[in-house]
Amino acid sequence: MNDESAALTYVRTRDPKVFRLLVERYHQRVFRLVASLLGPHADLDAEEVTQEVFIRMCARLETFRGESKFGTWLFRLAFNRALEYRRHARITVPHVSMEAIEQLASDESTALLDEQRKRLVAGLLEELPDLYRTIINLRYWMDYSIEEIAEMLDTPSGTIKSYLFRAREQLRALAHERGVEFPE
Amino acid sequence: MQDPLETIVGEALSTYPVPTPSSTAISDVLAAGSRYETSRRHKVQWKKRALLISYWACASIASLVILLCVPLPHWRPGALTTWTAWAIPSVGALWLGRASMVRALRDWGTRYFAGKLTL
Repeated sequence: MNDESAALTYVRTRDPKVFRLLVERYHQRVFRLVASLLGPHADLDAEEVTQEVFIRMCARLETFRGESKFGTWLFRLAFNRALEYRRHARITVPHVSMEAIEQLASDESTALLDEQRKRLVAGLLEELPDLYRTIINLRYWMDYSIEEIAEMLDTPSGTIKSYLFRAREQLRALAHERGVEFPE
Repeated sequence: MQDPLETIVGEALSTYPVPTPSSTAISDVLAAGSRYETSRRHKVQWKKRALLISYWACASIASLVILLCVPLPHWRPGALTTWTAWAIPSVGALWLGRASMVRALRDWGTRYFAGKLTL
């Protein structure tokens, strides 16, 4: 049974076996999409949000007409729910002191500075727009291919590549504002 | 050519382990889904019952008013017997609700016989 007909069957019958089938097929990818939007500092919340996404799926599945792919519909639901959660929750990011940034700007030789640079990047990522941060996390943290991200976000591969480029440019600009230069 | 920033971002993010859902995550979702479904079904049943009761009350009052007010031929107030007071709204309810009743009966039959067959 393909995903679309499984979803439509579930709306009609509310059969728990069909629900299990859909959860087993999509749980991992929904979890990762949610985690990549919430960021590395909120991985515990990702599980809770993923559960809410599937409950919301049960409640709203009647609006799924089978005209689009079920995965696209579900990932959109997951993205919106995670976004909503992120806006309401207070997600704490590691603090990078001004001294550390100044030190990083003046000297780049030691392993300690390398570590600070990593923390700075992680902090700057939190300042990126939600879509850019999600794509960066999916690509460089979760190691998804461009095609997989494109499928997940229902966006052409070329657009994902351009978003990645723009996200890196924005990251570079944010670092520049703090006096840190990343190599071109 | 790869942008050096890609390597920096990749290295920065690699310090965080890629999250994996806990071993009970799927069963937790299934349990939550089942709880949601039970409460949804409960709500739907109560909604149906409330609608049926209000329909029944409205139909009874309306038929009583009609019988008392409309001067039907060969009708006098004494003609309103217990039988007619019940029969008229009942026929109306059965007529209007025939489609949903047939559907409910068919669903019940499917569930009943499916249960019998699995036993």
